[in-house]
Amino acid sequence: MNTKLNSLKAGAGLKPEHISDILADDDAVGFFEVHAENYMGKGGGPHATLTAIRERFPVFVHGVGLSIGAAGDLDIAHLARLKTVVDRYDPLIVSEHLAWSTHDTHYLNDLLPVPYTREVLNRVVSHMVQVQDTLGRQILLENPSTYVRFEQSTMAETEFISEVAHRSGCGLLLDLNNVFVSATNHDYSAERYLADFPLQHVREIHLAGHDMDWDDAGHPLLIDAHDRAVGPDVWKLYADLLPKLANVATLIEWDNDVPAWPVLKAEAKAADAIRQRVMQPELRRAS
Amino acid sequence: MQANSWQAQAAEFSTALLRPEAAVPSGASISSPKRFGVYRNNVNLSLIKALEANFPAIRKLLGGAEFLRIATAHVRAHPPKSPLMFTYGQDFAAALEADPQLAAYPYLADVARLEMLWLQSYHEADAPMLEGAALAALGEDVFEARLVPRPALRMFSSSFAVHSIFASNREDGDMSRIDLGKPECVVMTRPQFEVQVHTVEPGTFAFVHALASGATLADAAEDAAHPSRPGQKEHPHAEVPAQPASKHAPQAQPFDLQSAIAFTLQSGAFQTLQQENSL
Repeated sequence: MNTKLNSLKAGAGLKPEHISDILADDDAVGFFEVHAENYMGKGGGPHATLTAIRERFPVFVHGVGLSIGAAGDLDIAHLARLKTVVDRYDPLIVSEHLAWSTHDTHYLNDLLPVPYTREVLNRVVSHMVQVQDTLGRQILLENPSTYVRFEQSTMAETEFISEVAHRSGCGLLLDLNNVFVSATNHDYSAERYLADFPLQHVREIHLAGHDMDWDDAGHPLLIDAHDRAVGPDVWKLYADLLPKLANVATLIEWDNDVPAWPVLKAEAKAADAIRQRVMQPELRRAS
Repeated sequence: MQANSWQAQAAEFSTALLRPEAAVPSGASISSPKRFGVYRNNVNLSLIKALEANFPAIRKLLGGAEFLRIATAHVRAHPPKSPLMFTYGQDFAAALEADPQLAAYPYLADVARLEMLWLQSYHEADAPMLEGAALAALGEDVFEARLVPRPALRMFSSSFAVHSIFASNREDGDMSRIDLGKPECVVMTRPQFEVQVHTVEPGTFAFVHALASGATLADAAEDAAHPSRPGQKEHPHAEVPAQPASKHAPQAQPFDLQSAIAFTLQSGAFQTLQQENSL
């Protein structure tokens, strides 16, 4: 698929409050990512602003409502709406989550965890195939941040995700904040997780900030809050991992307590600086 | 493992999310009330925030604590059926109406209905606006013309001062000058991206309503001259829901066709002339 993701400067999640600043900025960011569901109305202001953004920047579409991990069937009407958004904006990348959010007809508006079993794996693979067939393109699946684990799980998360990518032909969106949050919450090494992750399928990196808390037993409990700057641990994972990734775009997510545009932009520039720093030795070796 | 164990487990998980008194689901190991509580908070708070975003005037009218009480109960009783948060709250007006503690504020439900219509209008499809010249070009035939409404047109009539209450509570919340029990007829349009809410005379409401239903200009003017029951007619144009009118319909002013036509054009309610089947 996209062969030039590496040349793209880091992007930012698009927030309505930043639109006029972005359109007046001659040196904004490499691309913008939008939540698909925010553009599933038929017309009006949201589409007018996204159209203006799309005229100047590549756009990535990130779905949050398909409920890929649900036990039941995908919502065909919702999938059709996603196709409408994708057809309308021709995004460079389309992605969704390894999570569920709908049960029966109830939409729970959160990315809920799945057990890593063969049964759920088959479900997720068939859902991913269905989405890709409907959209007529590859999509990326994002690794989750989790707060609980399921005793029925028979596979590691990395093994589960590898199989989904292998069997469905999907690409992967590697959220390094999610890796760090889950690793801390469940007492494993983020570095070890990344060593097991099928990096050859990764086309996009997400970076975000998390909140810190403790569970009932006094164990650290990190929350994937997207409400602050990227933390130092996550930056380090990013710097260490970049040389191992062949072709990826990087996105900063900041969805709550959204800062002024220059603050969000500075995060994207920080990601660019890291990429430049760690990739320069690579480039020197190559030349 | 049995065939569809994930289905059963997800059912237990989702039920526990919406019921704070429910135990942490059994299948979740390395769990604890606080860990499961992160999901419970995410679900409940994000849905309450969605209601708050969709009903800002209701939020202002009720105040934070009372809104939280009602929204919390509503999220549990009526979780959304769509992932589109800007459509969430279809049943909220009915919930306000049914709440015995709000019986002294009977206008709340209509304000909530108006807020829902506002959201629909805001997200509706774009369409061109009907030019006055298109009507003028018809000459004498203008009275037989039928108009096509723009998708973002919404109409609502209430036995309360629904628009005045709505407007003041989307701003400073000063209701001291509002006669709450004064019926209002509302026409909502979206010329470009901003929704415009107009309070109109019952005659003008009936006129626009009849036109949006496919009546000729002549028939719409006839309806408007007898506007005692605005909005009660069957409405064939499904995109323009009309609410039952008040039993205490406003006193009709003499209908002024010229100004009604002017409003119809300037407000952006219609897009084109209906194309007649060729003779």
